[in-house]
Amino acid sequence: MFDAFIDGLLHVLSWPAFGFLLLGAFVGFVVGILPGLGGLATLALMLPFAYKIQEPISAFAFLLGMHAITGTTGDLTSILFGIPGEGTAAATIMDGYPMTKNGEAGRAMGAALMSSLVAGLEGALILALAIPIMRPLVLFFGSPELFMLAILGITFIASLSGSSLTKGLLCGGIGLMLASIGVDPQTGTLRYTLGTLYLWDGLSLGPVVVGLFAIPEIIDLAVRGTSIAEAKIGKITGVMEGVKDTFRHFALTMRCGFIGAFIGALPGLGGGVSQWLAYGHAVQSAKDKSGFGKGDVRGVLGPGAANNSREGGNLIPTVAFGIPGSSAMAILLGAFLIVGLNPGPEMLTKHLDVTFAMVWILVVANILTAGACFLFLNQLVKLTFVRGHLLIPFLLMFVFLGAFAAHNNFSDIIVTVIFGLVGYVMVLFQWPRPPFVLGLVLGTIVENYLWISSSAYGAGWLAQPTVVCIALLIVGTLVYSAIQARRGRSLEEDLEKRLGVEGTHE
Amino acid sequence: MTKRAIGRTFLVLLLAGFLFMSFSGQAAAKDFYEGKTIRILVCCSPGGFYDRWARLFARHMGQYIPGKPDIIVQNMPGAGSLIAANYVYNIAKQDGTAFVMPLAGLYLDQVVGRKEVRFDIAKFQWIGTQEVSHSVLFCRSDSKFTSIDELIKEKNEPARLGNSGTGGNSYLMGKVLEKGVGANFNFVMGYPGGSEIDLAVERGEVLCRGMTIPPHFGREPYLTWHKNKFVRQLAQSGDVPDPRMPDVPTLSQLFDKYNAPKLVRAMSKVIFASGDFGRPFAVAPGVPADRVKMLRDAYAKTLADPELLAEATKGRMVPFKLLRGEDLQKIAQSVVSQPKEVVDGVRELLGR
Repeated sequence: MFDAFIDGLLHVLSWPAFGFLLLGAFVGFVVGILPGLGGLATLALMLPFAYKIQEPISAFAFLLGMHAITGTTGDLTSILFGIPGEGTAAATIMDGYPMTKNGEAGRAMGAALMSSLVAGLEGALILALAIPIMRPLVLFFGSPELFMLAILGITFIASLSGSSLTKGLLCGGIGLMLASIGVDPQTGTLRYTLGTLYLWDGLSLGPVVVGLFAIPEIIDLAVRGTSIAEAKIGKITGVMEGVKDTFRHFALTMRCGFIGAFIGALPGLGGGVSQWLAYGHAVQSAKDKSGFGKGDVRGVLGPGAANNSREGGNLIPTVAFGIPGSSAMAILLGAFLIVGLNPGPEMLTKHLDVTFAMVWILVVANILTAGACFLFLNQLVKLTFVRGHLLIPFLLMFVFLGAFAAHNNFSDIIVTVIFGLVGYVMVLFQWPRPPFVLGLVLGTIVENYLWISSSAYGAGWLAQPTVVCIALLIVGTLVYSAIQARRGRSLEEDLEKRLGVEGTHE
Repeated sequence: MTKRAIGRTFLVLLLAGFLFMSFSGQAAAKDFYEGKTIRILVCCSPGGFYDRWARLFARHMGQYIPGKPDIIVQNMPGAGSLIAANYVYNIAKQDGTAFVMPLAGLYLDQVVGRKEVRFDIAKFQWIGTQEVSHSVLFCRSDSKFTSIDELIKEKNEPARLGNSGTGGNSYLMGKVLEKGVGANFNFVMGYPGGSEIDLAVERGEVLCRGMTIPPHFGREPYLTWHKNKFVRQLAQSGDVPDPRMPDVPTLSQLFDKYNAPKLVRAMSKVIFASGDFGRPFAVAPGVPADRVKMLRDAYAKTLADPELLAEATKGRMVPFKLLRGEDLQKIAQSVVSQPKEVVDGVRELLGR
């Protein structure tokens, strides 16, 4: 196995595979930065090149390299402009954009890139380590387990609520409710579709998230009449600071990387989930939560990490079963066939070197993007000091092109506008947006897997050991955060008392 | 210049203009597509078999259409391809520059009288299809469900059949077998898609699944499953058995064996007519007849193109078989004119 591991690396670094990797990385970078052409559509568009490339590793270097990079670059637009490059890169906005407003764009991007790099490597490592145990690993998680994981995710609503738990729970509830829009899979009933065809498939995450987060910021920018970055900074030294942050919070980065890879390995939870869970985890595990949402670098590290390690995780079911772990992987499956490979058990025996080469492609592609981005970062940061009035037209174009491109449907634009207004009102009255998105993302999953679990296993699934374990974990986290919250409060009271005492002395 | 000369020049210019216009008009009829771009509006997201076929045609069909237009693929997923079909029928230009590639079962929405349907299947002008995609129902070999008889016998703990929604092939196969021969299933609903059902089969969470035949023999995980004899096919929907599984009974054979009611047979015929639609192209009713003929011919030629064949072979999209637009048109016409009791039966079965 070790031979295959080294062979894989040599394959990737040899010509022409490396050239294709560079080419793929370049295309991925451009597509990731520009709105309107999603990573998925680009992948489908580029797939035919596999016919011409023929050699498996070169073909994967091109396609997988391209794909690995769109995740990273998507984070950059989230941080700089508050506009997610992809629907899945939205959680980075939460703290990344406030950092930009504080004049810390460089630091935020440094943190996003470095955590992406670290977690990308981690995802690749997890993929490599998982190779011998891939099949049992994926089979271990059935619908009851997926249901419980989704419930665990929902408990994050509590820690994402910010100042008011009541508002947070309400937003989460509304998110869950909106998730039920569409054709119900149990009976085919149309729920809340308002007589439109568009809503048959439910609200699509991309336009909702773009509207909810990007539009309020653009309105705010217009009202303020300044540049995005409010603080004036003479020199941009922040990038290295962000890199250092990654290592300052290394454990958090690794944990969020693990979350990304883990969720990526479970088809059925979907791409939107991992980043939000990672963000939720970053907030929940922090002792001092007060800075989140206002520009805490840990809120960038978490989602940045999860976004990249996911790819390694996605490859696990794709390689082990020939069952794609995500829609991008479904397209890559096509590439497997074109270059004459059979994804499935063969990939763990006869073509193990190709499997490892894929691991290495992820690693090298991540290093390349991080390197290239660091070269350009300082130029990108300057954009945040441009007067807002000049930027706004371009930002709006970004927003609406991005929202429209996913389905080529005008209704997406309407949804963006509606949720833009909702988002603006929520910001105005301080209703937290993350619980809402979490509810929206997890609602469908919770509902479907609850149905599946009870119709496939009866009530018996409740007693399955793994289900009980996750249930205990959920109770544990809830109790832990309750204790933490109380301790935080008593500390505050303590402090107040002491300050009060000092006051009397004077 | 005198007034008269000016008048004469004007007349000559007018004549020349008229001649030019009429010539170019003629040229337009012949080479309408020159410099134009055709859009194929695909029902589904990138990556699936529909999308792959659309992109394959986009790469090869242009050279067979006079004027050699560019062809691009645009994914317009949503509402089981109703969005794309409504768009091409009503909104896109009616000049033959917009194809729709709907789901094979699109007509069912019209049959059951969904009010969101803004088209008439019979009036869409069908260009052709390349694949007969009937359905198959399979169960894990290590389960006790080794034949239809077993499915009928087991009433207490019926076979768990994995489904995403009430329109999927798995659900339709299960329901038709339930109504027609009295097979029992536990319909496990709500999987996000086929991949997740496959994993559930691997895990033993569900034991059976129904799906279309081409991918069942065209890609993983099925290829490995066949090699390891992990699953066994129990029924298929075509009139004649697929050559790759000659011993698996067809629905009509099963209907004969178990004396299925006439109504169920008629319903099954309507429901599985989708198999004949394969992965079809159609254009709007307003497209001129000569252009439709041009496209139908081009479609047939494209499917015989050696390069397309080579690519399709590599992508495991073979074997395929041309069904010309003219024939598809006849199927489209017959399938949407059904007696009321059949329509009611289908509507009830689909839960609509």
